[in-house]
Order: sequence, then C-alpha cells, then structure tokens
Amino acid sequence: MSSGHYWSNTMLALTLKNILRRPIRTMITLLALGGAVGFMVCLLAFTQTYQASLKKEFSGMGLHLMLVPLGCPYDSAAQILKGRTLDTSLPESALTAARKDPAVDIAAPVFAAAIPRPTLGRTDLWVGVDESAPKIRAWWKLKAGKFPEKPTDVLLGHEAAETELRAVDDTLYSPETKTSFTVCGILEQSGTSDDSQFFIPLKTAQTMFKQPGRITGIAIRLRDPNLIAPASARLQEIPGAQAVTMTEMIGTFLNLAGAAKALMLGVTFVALGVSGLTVFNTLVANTLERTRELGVLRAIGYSRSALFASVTSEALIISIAGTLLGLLIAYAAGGLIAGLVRPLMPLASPTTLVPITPQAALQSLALTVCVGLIAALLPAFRAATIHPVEALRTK
Amino acid sequence: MKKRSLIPVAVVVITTGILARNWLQKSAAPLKLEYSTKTAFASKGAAMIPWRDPAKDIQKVFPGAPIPDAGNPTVIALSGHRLALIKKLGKLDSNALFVHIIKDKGVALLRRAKGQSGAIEVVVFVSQSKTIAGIAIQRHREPNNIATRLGAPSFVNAFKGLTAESTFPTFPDKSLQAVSDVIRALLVEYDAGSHA
Repeated sequence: MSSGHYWSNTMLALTLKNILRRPIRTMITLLALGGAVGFMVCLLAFTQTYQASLKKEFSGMGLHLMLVPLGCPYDSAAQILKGRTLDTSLPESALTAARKDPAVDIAAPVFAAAIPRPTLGRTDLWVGVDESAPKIRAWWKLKAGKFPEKPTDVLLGHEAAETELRAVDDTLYSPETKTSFTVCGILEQSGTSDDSQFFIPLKTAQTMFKQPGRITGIAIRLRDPNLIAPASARLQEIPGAQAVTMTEMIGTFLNLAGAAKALMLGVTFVALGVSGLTVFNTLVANTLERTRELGVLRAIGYSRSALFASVTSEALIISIAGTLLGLLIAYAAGGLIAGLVRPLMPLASPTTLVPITPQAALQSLALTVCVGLIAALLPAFRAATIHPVEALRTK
Repeated sequence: MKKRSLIPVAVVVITTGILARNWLQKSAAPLKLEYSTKTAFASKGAAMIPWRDPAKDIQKVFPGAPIPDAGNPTVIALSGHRLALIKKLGKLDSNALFVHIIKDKGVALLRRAKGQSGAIEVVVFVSQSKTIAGIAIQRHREPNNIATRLGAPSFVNAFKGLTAESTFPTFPDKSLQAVSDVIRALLVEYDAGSHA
C-alpha cells in the first residue's frame, strides 16, 4: 500500500471513530438534519409529480381551450371543469361561430345548473350536453346503456347512479323542476366531477332551467394543437366570449401551487439552516474535544490540508447519513406530509403526490452536502491552523 | 451495550419497521379491495348513509332523548347470520349493519330504498323491546302525490309496534312498498344481529 493510501485510510478511520465517539450527539444531529431533509424531499417530489400529473390530466382531457362568458376566465373555466354553475352565460350563436372556425375540430357546448337542496344535505348537478360530449370527453366509458338520444333521457355518473339506486330504464325525477327522465346509460367511474352529475340533452336542460338559447361554456378541440394561438385570437372575437387555453389553465394552477410551495420551501430552508447550525455545533464540539489529538497529528507530520479534510469529511459523512435518514422519513411519513400539503394544491388527487422521486432525492442530497460543507468550514479551519505545541499543552 | 453500537442498531430497527409496514400493507391490499368493492357493499343502499338531521328525527319519536353522534355509528356484524337472513329476506347486501344507539330508548337504523323516481332514505327507530317505535323519511325525489303518501300519518304509523316476526303492510305503489321492504329488512337484520 502506498503511503498516500495509508494516510487517507488512517484519516478516514479517525473521522469515523470521531463520529461514533459521541453517538447521542451524532444521533441528534442526524435526526435534525433528517427531519428537514425528509420534509424537503417530500415537498420537492410532490411539486414535481403534481406538475407532471396536472399536465397529463389536462392533455388527457382531449380539449385545447375553453370558451367562457366574459368575467374572470380562469375562474369560469375552472368552475365549468369542476361541473359548477356560472352566473353569466354565452349565447348559442357563440357555438355556431366556434364551429365555423377552420381550426376547430370539435366544439362541445355545456349547460351546467345546480339545484341546491340544503335541507337534504345535497346538490343536484344537471349538465346539458349534445352529441359532441362523448367525443371530447375521452374519459367517458359506458358501464351500461347508451348516451342520451331522446329529450327525456338522462345519463348518470357512476356515483350519481349508486346514490340514487338507479339502473338503465329506471325513472329519475327532478321534484324542483317537475321533470321526469328515463335513465338511458350509466358511466364508469372516472374519478372526475362527472361521477356525481346528471347529463341530459342540451335543449332539455335549457328548457328545464328556463334559459333557452344559452350555454355555460364551450369545450374546444383543435385539428392541430399548434394552431392554438391564432385560433384563440379569432375565438376571442366572438361577442360576449373569451377563450382560455389549457396552457393558461395549467399556468394558473401551477402559480397557485407555486405560491404555497414557496411558503413551505421557506419553512424548510429555515429548518435546514437550523440543522446546519446543529452540524456546525457538533463539529466545533468534536474539534475542541480533539485539540490534543489534532496537535499530536500535526506533530507527527500530518499536513494542515489533511486535518482540514478530516473535519470536512466528517461533515460530508454526517450530511450523507442525514440525507439517507431524511429519505427514510419521507418514505415513512410521506402520507402524513401529503395530507398537510394537498389542500394547498388545487386538483391534486390522492394518487398524485408521490413522496420520493430520484430527482428530489438528488437535489436534497446536493443541498444537504453544501449545507454540511459550509457548516464545516470554520471548525475545519480551526483544526488546520492548530499549533502542535499549544495543542499538546491543552488539558 | 457500547454507545457506538446504538446508531447501527437504531438504523436497523427503523428500516425493519418501515419495510415491515410496507410489506403488511401490500399483503393486505387484495383483501381490502375485495371486501370494499365486491362482497360487502354490492348495493350502495346498504352502505352507511349519513343521518342528516338526527335532532329533528329523534324529537318526533323519542322526545327528550340524547342525540347520538351521527357520524360514529356502531357496527353490528351479520356474517354469522348470513344464510339465515338470506333465507328470510331473499338477499343480504352487506355483512355490516350500522346502528345509531339512542341511550335508554333504542336504536336508529338507516337505509336507502329504491323508489320509483330515485332513492328514498329511511330512518327506522327501534325500541329496546325490538319493536318499531317510528320511522322518518329523510330524503327522496318522488313526485308530490307519492311524497304526500310517504309523509301521511296513515303510512308512517302503519309500522309502529311491528316486530321482526310481524306481517308487514303491503302497498300498491312501488315506492311505498320499497320503503316497507327496507324497514322490514332493517328490523330483521337488527333482530338477528343484536341476538349475538
């Protein structure tokens, strides 16, 4: 073995021995670091998986933009996507105009109306659609029956059918509007708001809610997604309507989530800073306790850089071990942390948030190592500049 | 034990705990899935139904009685009586019967009945002597003519005093008959389950 290898092996052995010399102190340092890293890994992984799932969900919807009444476009589009009603509506002429646009492949109108029944603890969500609805709602799969054809047909979401104990050909009555329907079909569970809605023909819905010729919004799929900018500009010209692209929708949701993420990352960085101070404190204490040992090492010929490296490698080992502990914490407590974070992320489903991703783990490792090395600078400098004679005089 | 051996021991214990938890969750998953999606709740009518206004309903049947926590019913397991109940009722949608205990008075049982125009949610009050003390219809979407009959004293009182062995009244109307069938099923299931 070369003398260089011998020296580096000896230094590594000394470093490990030093870390294990005070197990309780090391354990507390690791727990502080691990807790902060665990939360940070979860937060980074949640953000990454949330962004990916949001993009996937929007692209899977099969629609490129929404035409909604004038007002806050994002609020309108989000309300329609969630199956809620709007105070304003579009004239049906907007649908005709949208369908005439050369870039539009499918324009599917929606008329949404809610009947709140507070005394019964529920709200009936009636949605008027036409024959274009199944084409644009790629997630619709029939569990039984067929799509609405007759004016009195109703297509039920999975949850709505179960709650009302309805099967195909059963009657469904709306006591508030005194309208009777025949269940023509039941949708498979999709995990969307469609599960709890009653879908009826558009004309029936307009008549039922006394708003003939009005629609709540239009979902649009383009022939070519690259045409979105000119198509959006043209559709924006339709009187009373405004176009909202799915990209804008994703951006809005991500901005909302981004603000929450910034706040939580701030808290995490404070925790990581405190953990860095704990590492610093541990290293200072270790260095002070080893003053005589460091003096002996200097006296027998160890260089300043070797002692500097000894302390920094101690910080490096603690940082890596803290990150590994943090990953274990993230894995074990991911569900708990997801529960805290989920309310701050709009449209996040229970399966969306994954507590660990390789990217998040690597980012956390890099950051923790940096924090550890910064914390090691002063103790390492002190160890490197120690004078052997003064050190040996120390009791 | 030397102090230095504490760290590896702690790491091994934590890792083993996490892996064991993960393994147990994975091995239990198929059973949970089977139970929740197929066997137990084949019909949503038998699943747990929210008791929407317990204070109002109790006031009508057991005035002055304490209001139970509507979100925390007691579960009676019917699995031991499954065959006997299927023989008696023709079907048993769930092995679990959710019971709201009303202290010193009896119990309240809830279920959805398949009405003509939608689900009808029924609350059945059973006294400590296991006779029907009263019923309440908490939600329905029936037309006015049926809704009037559902709320009529002649219908509501027709079940008072009946036991699991009684002959239940029959009705020409599909919705009223569905409610009657559900009331009988709840009483028979409760009678069997509370014997255990």
